[in-house]
Amino acid sequence: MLNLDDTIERVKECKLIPERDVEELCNKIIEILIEEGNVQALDTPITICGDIHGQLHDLLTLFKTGGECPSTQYLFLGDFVDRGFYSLESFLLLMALKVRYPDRITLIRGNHETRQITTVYGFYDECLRKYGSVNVWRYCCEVFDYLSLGAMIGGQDGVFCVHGGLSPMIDQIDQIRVINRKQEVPHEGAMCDLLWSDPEDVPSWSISPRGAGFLFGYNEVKKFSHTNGVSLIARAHQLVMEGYKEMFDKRLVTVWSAPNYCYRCGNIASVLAIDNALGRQYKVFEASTNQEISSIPSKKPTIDYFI
Amino acid sequence: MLSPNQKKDKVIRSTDLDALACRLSCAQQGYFLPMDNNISKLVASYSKYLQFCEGYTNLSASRTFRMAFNDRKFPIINRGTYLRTQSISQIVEEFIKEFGTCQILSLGGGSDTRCFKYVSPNVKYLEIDFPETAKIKKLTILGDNGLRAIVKYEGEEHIGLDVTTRDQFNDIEPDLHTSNYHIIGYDLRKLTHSSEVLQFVDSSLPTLVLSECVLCYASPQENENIINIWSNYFGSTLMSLIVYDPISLKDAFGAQMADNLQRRGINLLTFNAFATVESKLEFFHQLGLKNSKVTDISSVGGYESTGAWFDEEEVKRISKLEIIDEVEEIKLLFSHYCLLYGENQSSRSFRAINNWRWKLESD
Repeated sequence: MLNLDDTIERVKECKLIPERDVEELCNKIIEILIEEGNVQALDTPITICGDIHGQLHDLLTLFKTGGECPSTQYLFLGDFVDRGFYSLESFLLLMALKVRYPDRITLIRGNHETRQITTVYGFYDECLRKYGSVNVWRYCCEVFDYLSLGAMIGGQDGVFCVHGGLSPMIDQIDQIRVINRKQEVPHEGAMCDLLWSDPEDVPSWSISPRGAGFLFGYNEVKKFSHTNGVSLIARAHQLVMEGYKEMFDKRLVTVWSAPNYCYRCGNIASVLAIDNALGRQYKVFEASTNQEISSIPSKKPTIDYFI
Repeated sequence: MLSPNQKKDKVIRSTDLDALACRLSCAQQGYFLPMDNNISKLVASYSKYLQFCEGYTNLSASRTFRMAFNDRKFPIINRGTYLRTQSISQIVEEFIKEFGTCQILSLGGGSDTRCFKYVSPNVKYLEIDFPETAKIKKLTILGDNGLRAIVKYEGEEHIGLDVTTRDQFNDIEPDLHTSNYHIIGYDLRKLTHSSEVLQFVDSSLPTLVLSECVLCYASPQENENIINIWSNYFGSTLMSLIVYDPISLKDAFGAQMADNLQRRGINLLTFNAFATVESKLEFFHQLGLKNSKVTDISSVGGYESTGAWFDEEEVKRISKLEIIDEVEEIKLLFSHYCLLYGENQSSRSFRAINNWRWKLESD
């Protein structure tokens, strides 16, 4: 039988979780996620977090910075896995917290939470390396399909949260609510855009250099915010060297929570605490230097350059 | 036991394996058209002979080899490898087109396969690298009918050649000389005006000198020496120089990069000394090189305002090969690598060099 508190402690120590426990955890979280809407309604106060990308030690620093769960309520904007060396542990920790405290933590889907992207960017290989089979990866991918696509904090005039950004196919938030989200992220369309788009200084919808989603500008943000009664769009998805970046008269913010991204970028990270009056407090933090606590036979970090 | 300096040199030589692993991964993803089948021949050669190189045992060689080749390379690395390789190849092609009969001199090219593509009766191709690295390439060529034909090797050294022990490997002479291809085992940092290697280089042919991630391991003073020697050696004959090097930009990414590479024992001696495209260009200017130009790989790839070095069709083809998840990171990584051009005080000039979009230029 799965003992959640025990699992949480073991994951924090980077210890291997038995495959059957992972399976049970995934089944349990699906039971919770299946009841959640595409756009979760959330109350303040809450702390919003950006990309994690398998940097478990930095995730632990994040909880020290923002306050432990459940005393602090959290919203994670996706991209839990890939790139870093501890994708599985990072996602297991977040799932275990979700199952243990369902009302104190919300997870929404990022563009990396898909079968296709995780086979290219590390999560698949990591599961295979750690378990000798891809069962664990399969269980986690099942969970991905049930994750919400966005959240609305504080009701009318509140904060709209999504991993990537806006979509030319979405004028009203209600249009997001009717998407059938229980699927692999498509290569185009509203669901894809929400997870892939980026804000940019462009006069209108433009082609994204990522090859998926769109670039959107101040005009699109103003229109969307006005139509839907949104005072702030909070999103992640883009590396920001300073940890966060407000744009468009502070109507949009990018929150980035993976310090020294890929052990290579030298950036700092942040979380955004929203208080009851929708006031914003950015809490920044740096990369953990404690990479040695692992007892898992992990990959020795080789960080590629052109040399 | 290796001395500290020997250890440092061993690490520098090992970077050739990194570059080879990157090229192999890039080729396997379909970036190079047509597919470059010579890369895997060099890989096979390394897997056979690395164990006989200085500072390696059978065990440590296979571990090093696994580390370099086993892991999947991220798309960002494949794309960067493509941009670096193709941008320089474009320049080589145009140089050959403009001058017809000419010479390509690759400094520290190691396991690079570009030589096999461009060596011809009109194009004399020379490669200078550490003796061990030269040996591995030479053995690759001797052991392959196709490569022997490409470099027009007519000797008999390959007949019955079977290197299976360290002693046999040590006994191999690193140099290989044919009518239009030369591989020379030599430590470039020791280059002087009277070095024997110079005798193989034809000072009457317009020459393009290539340095890809090579001069960055030499000190600024050694850089100056090496460049000056070649500049002067060619005298009134045109010598064009292309340098591809990492630059620190003196920012957080650069500091982290220096730190990460230091952990592997890699010291980039010009990384902070010439930290920006401006200071790289200034360095060339000070050395008396003319017609100097510089850009960075982020610009070459079309991630900056200058526009890509590739036509729309090619950009489209490349972007379809692999999903790029993060553009900010690409810009960050690629902007820390520069491509630098300059030529000696010859009356001739490489005119086509102006066809590409450069970030900065000086007279």
